[in-house]
Amino acid sequence: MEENILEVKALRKVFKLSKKQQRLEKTNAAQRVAVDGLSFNVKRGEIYGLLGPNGAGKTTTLRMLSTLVKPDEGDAELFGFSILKDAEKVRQKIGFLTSELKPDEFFTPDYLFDFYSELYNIPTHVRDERKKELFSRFGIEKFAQTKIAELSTGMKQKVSIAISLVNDPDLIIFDEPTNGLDVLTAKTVTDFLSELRSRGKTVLLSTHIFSLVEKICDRVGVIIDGKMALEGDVKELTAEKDLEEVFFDLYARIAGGEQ
Amino acid sequence: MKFSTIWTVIRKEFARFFKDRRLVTALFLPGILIYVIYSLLGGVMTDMLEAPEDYQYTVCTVNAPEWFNETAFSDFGDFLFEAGAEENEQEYLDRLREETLDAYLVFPDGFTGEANGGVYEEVKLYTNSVSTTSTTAGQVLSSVLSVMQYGAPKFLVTPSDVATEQDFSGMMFSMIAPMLVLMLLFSGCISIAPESIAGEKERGSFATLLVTPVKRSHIAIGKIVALSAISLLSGVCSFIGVVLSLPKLMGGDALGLGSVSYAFTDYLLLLAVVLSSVLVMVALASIASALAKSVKEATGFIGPLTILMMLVGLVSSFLDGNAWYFYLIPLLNSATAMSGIFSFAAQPWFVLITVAVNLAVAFGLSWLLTKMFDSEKIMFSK
Repeated sequence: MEENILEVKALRKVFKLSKKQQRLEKTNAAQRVAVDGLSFNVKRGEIYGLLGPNGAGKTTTLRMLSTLVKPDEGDAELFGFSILKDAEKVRQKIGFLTSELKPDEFFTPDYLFDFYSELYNIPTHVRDERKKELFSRFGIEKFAQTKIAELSTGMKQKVSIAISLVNDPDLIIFDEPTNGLDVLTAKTVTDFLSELRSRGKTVLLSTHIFSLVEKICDRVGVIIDGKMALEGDVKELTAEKDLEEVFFDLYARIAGGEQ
Repeated sequence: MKFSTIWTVIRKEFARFFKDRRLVTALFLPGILIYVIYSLLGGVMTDMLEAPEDYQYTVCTVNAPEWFNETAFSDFGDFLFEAGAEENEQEYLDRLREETLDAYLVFPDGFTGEANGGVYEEVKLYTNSVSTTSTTAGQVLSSVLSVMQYGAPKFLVTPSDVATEQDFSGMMFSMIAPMLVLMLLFSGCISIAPESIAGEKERGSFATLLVTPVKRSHIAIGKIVALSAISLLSGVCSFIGVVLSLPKLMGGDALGLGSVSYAFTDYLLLLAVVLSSVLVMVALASIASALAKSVKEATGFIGPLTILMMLVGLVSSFLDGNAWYFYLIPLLNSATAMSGIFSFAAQPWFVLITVAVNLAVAFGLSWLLTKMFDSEKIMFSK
């Protein structure tokens, strides 16, 4: 039996709405349930995709799992460490990347890689070896001494990915990994995710792009309104129809049920 | 020219402005603060320039004639006269400098109070210009002696100031320097704290730091210590500039400001006060920056703090430096302690209290900053 390295248990997150948010969302509700009792497991060496429309709760889930925000209810265990009780140990074990996390533009990729390696207490020789490999993989060597501010959006994203891997994490959490990227950079990123899996790493990603899930994910969890609406093996789910059709059938059922 | 188009643009600008509470506050706040500061300052300056109503002036006289002793000084205030002896003059002058005596008046031996063949007897009036009460006592005594000579001059009143150039220079510095030092130190903080915290939040690089295994408290302490060191460096540079240029700015040797020379211990005390103050300032600026979503917003939050620094610096010049309770209020204690150091009246215990209070407050604010770094509402609100 394959080992679960991530066990998510009934996570729930509620956000209070300010008056401004109530106006924007045209609601009188004082709060919004972003994630509602979400449970799922991720096995070692697989790529697990969280699929859902904008506002479904994917980013909040990943933020809870990376200990940036705390759940109101539920818990999750990464490598046996609770995100509530052992947040620092969890952070030591994971690499987290979202398009909202950006490297400080004042510094060079070389400086930032060294800086983050130091925060993870990585020995110098290991750091240098890892830096060489990652910079080479993403074509950063030429820009290693160039300030981030002067790099293209795609190169910045590659630097962010390299930095998120300074600790050689066993679990990499990517929130919308190809968001805002040009096709070439997006291809580099998706190829790299597959490469990580082949090296025995585990990837948990969120996306709203069906083709990305079909292309690289082993399993998928479809989140709608903060709840797990469907979960399964990608190949099995798409045996008869493509993922987009599966999703819209499901969405119509749920939306129809609500009506 | 199409006025309707211009009017449309004007309305849009007004809408942009008046619908933004921060901009509206920025418009009205200076007026309100100016009223508060000037009113407060006016009150404090009045208190400073006038001796307290119930104050008892102590005057030592030597060879005072009977008519002088019978003069009703109660019309001018509560005067206590001590009859002294000329041979103890040094003691009286020392008391004047120590401000335990307000005036020392010496009539010549066998004073008649009459001009004799165009030769006028000389009455010496010693006061201390650094002391408000001594200055007031001197003014009252001069007036009384002038009234006694109504019609034609009968004797000469020769005023002497026991305050040394150093005392005077110290007083001048103590009135100006605390505010300048506070402002310069704070300007160092506000030039870097918003960039370091709000800037990182705005650019998204702060969250990158938060997903590392580093404790939030370590991030907060690291930032505060680094910001303090940079602010201190900036403050020290500015302070050296002020110390070197102030005598020239104030009229230099004509006012005796070039004669200021502080002891090594004064510099040590000043350094301790400055260091502890910078920690509080950086912590305050960091908290304002952590609350803000952008550098621009942080600058807006820090604006009132800048005015507060100015106010604290101004008010401290007029406070009673011997009142211990002022040293319990962070930053006001720094300004008051600096005022004491600059006027050569520093009391090490008060400086120690100042440093201890500031360190405790800086520690408390750092703890608060750590909690703020932990708060998803503060760190991730849009």
